[in-house]
Amino acid sequence: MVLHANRVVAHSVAAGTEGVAVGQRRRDAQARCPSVRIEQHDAARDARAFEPVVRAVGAMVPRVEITEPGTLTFISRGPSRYFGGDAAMAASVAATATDAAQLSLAAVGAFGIGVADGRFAAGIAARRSARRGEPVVIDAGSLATAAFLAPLPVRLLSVVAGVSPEFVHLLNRLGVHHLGPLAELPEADVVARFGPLGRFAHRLAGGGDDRLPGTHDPPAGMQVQRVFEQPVFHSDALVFVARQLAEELVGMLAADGRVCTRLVVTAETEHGEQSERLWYRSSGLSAAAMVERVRWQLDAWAQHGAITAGVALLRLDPAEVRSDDGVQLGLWGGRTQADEWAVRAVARLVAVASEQQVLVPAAQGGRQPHDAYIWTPAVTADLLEPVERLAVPNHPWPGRLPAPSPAVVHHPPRSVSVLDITGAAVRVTGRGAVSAPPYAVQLGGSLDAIQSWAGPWPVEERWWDAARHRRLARFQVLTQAGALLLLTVERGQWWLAAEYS
Amino acid sequence: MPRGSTNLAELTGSGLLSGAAAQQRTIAMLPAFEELLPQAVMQRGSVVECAGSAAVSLALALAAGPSLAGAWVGVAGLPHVGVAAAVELGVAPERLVMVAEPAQRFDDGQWAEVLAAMIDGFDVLLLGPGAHAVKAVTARRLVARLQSRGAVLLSIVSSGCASGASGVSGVFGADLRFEATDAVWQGLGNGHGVARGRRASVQLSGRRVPRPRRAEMWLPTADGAVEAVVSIAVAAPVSPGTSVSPGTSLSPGTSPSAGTSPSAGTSPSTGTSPSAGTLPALRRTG
Repeated sequence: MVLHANRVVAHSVAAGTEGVAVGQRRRDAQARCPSVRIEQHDAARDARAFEPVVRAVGAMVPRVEITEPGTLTFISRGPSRYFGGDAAMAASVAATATDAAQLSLAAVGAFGIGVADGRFAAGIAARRSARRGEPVVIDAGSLATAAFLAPLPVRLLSVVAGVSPEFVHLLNRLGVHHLGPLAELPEADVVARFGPLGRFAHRLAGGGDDRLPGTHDPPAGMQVQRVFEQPVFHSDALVFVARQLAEELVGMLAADGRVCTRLVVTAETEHGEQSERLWYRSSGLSAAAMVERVRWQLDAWAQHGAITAGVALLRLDPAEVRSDDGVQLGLWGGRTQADEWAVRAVARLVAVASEQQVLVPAAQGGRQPHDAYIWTPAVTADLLEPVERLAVPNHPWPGRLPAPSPAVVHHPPRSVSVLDITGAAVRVTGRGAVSAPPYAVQLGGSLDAIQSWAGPWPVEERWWDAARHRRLARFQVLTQAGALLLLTVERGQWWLAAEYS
Repeated sequence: MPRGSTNLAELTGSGLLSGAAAQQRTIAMLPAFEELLPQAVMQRGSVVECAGSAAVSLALALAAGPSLAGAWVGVAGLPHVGVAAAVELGVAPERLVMVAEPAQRFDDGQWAEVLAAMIDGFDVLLLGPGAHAVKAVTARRLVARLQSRGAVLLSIVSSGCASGASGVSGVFGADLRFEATDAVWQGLGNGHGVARGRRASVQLSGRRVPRPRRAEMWLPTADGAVEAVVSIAVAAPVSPGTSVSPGTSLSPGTSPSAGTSPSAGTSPSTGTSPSAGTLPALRRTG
């Protein structure tokens, strides 16, 4: 089974029969099935493993769109006629996909192929098909679809369609356990109670598509692309350019109050090799989501495609947009020339130095001076949307030292010794008493007399966790030379944590 | 959180609104530097050296003015800079970028490339001792680039800390040199109190300054900001009944000696300037 944030996000069919379910806590899942193997969620790995399947199916049918690594959808009308019916087409796709997957996956899980009206019903059919080991075809027509959905639990809204689990939980508490009763409720009442989310869920339950009203093709000329005069070999640099393109595209769409739901990502090498993928997300693709998909696509391409040259072109082309009914994200109103220069400079610095050396601060919060902010790689951060990164966590940190903060923070701290007037090391007892007033501090070879000092201020962190438990005391020490130091003592060892330079 | 005492509108109005920045000949500093720099502005293309025991705070305080007005600040060769202190001094963390030197160190060519990219992209460069490893000829080329691009280079020649390197003069040369001397920390006793601000005398000298200027500053104040100390001549006429206007700050937000109890008589006496002693009295009248 696959875990993300301590919850099950996917599991094998075998684990499912033991009672493991999506959304369970790890402990609950392990209790049901102690022998289950646990993997952490890694979308990039999934994308790499799934790439051959996308390729194989993409060669058979047109316009394959990828919802997430592991799920792809296509419009079956044309292919179905070509293969002679839904069932024949599904069998043929299943065979192709299984063949392709055997090349890349060590253990082939069961593929599920579902054919139905709309993505939601098809997704459920595919899940059922994975358990049965044969394609599941739901008859066409909204009545047949609604009849198929009616006895199913509302939980599927969150598992398949990405509706929030809280909403599903609320439906359950209100006594709506199945999709049928939900569809039977008057739409006006559902909308009045739950708003747009309710309308969406109601339409899905009634057999409608998850394509929202107001979805249309984008106006011409919305695509953004970058042609590289010097072909790019580093995927980091490409991803960085993708971020700029995505922000530009999202900015253009947002100016019209629109959001992209289907995106074609195209990358071409100098030798004309091309990777083109259609990505779908019903809730709309944010700039970050676009970048993530570009990264998946490039990773998978580099691993499975025969790339013989650097990438010369990267293009993002919105294939479908709709009016944005959600939160209006930043409209880039505050963006200035200085910001653009800086973003470009960061891209250059990443190329000159490396991804790990170009850093931006992110708020973290904590009691130690190095905890308040941490440095994170600039490529993983949104340079022009810093609100989330720098939002100071809203917890109080009792015991944190008041302002002014030290201008020089040593992380990891440097070892020092603190001596009393007799030349013995100063110790701090478990109750926070100092063995003798500190008289001098020894840093490296030099010995500095102490003019004044304050402390100890004890901190005890994570006492509940034996491995990460820390117990230390802090001191401010002013040397005769005028340097104010922040010292910590932990298990008898003194450290220089920071300097107020 | 940016400090309240800096009037952002005033800063943006007074010259630098980045974007059009390249055309402007000057770049606005925090009002705390008014006594040292006329109208608290600095020529673009300046190379500024910060030295003394408060060198890092001084450089961050100089970077804060442009940063608040929309400029980006690039840091290199200063891996241990405290972001919290920078934020308290007024640097906007959303426009702060650091290039960390890898374990195997940059060579001269790599430093040249890194610094050139930083000069092109950021309005303010904050270079620590680590970035002084470039050759003199490279440094001259970079300074020429800095002048044509109109950025400001703040270079910390000695880290000013106990662990710091020697105070050698920077490889970039300097148009201006800020040095904090006679720094006195307030609020620390013998086993009690907590540091509540540092009063320092900041001296400005250099090629473009015919006669060195001097100003008393809180660097930082009790809330971590930078403020000019209003001269004693202004403070003297204050008599009982006259309230101290909130705009002219005589002391950092909190009285520096608040942490120490007067009866203990242990407040750091060495070098405490006379005005610091008068502060509690002024507070009481106000």
